[in-house]
Amino acid sequence: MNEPSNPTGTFDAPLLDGVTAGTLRLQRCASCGHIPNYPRIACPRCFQPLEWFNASGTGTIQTHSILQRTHSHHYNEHLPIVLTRIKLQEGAEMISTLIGANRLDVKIGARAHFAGAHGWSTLPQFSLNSDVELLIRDHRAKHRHSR
Amino acid sequence: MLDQFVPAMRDYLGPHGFGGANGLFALIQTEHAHRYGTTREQLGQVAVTFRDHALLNPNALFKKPLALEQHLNARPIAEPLHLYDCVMPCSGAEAVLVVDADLARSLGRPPVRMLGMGERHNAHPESSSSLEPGFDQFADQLFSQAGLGPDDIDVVELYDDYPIMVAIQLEQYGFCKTGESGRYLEQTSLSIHGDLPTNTGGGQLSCGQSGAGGGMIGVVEAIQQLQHEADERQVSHARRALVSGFGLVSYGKGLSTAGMIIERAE
Repeated sequence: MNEPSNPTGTFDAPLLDGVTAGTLRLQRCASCGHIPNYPRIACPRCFQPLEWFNASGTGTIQTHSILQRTHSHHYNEHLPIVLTRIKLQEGAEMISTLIGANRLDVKIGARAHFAGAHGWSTLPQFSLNSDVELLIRDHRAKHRHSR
Repeated sequence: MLDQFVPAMRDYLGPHGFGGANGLFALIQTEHAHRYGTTREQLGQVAVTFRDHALLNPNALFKKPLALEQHLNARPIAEPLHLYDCVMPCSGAEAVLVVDADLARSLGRPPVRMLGMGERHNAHPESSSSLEPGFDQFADQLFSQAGLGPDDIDVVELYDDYPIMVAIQLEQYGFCKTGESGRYLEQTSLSIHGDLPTNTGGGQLSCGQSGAGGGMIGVVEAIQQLQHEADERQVSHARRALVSGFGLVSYGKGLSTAGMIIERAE
């Protein structure tokens, strides 16, 4: 079986490109200000065009599940997968997964931080660690590679 | 299958290894437990009771009894969901004939008529959760259309992809208050011979979920109950039933809810 593809159109490229670049991008309606929970082709509230913007990357855990089994064997190497719904600072409710050794410590109400380019998914993932710790790790990793 | 079901799920959940419906409904149970204290023991009653009913149903795929201990100790799938919380897909088919009442009588079958129906789709467009699926937006109108209340219902067939959704439907239709389904399940027997006979054929949890056709299982079982053709599963004096449907799971929630009340007409 082939690896599951993510056959998106071009409209959500900013989201996926953002992950690679280490930026969490969300859409906002230019007309009513609504921020959808996942990429949409038009504002689901008023149907006007949406604009991409760089989001803060922080949110709060609303709920979670630790997956011992997943829906496709291609993700087995990442088990246990910590699935969560995060209420982003900007208001959107994003379903995502946590990375990091401490992801099993997930609790409702905990702060979550966009994990930038450090995740294993093509989609934005989060960490219970603060950005500073990730930045330090990233900085160290970059300097290891340049020696 | 589910990861190809709708684009939002395929594109924005699939690449997370989200675990399909198991993952999404685990999120619901975690949230319900956090908000209201609902326990696995309380919800376990649903799976256990429905299995008791399935043992009386020759069409059910599951043939072995299920004890609460077994349910609680089964292997975790997407915590807090364990093995027996998760509906099993299967092949299957259900069918109903809609006929003129006089024709039914002439064939010796008591007519079953619809007293009311309601549905709501995308009840909370900006939510990514099925904690509030939408049944409550039509439940009052449904009962008043039928001229009945929850106490008048003899048989209940709820959409049981997961015990937590059974609990939420009990709340949303008004059998108990929002958030109180845990305690309600402790105090109320859902058995065929109990307080509120529910999913009297074993439901999808013990019969199997025939894909998108799964919801019809409750329609067929309710009609068999009201026509007094449910053999060993028969609820005595069954006259009125509530049948509930749910689904079209997308980004974290089921988009569709529907319900009907039917009655045996003499």
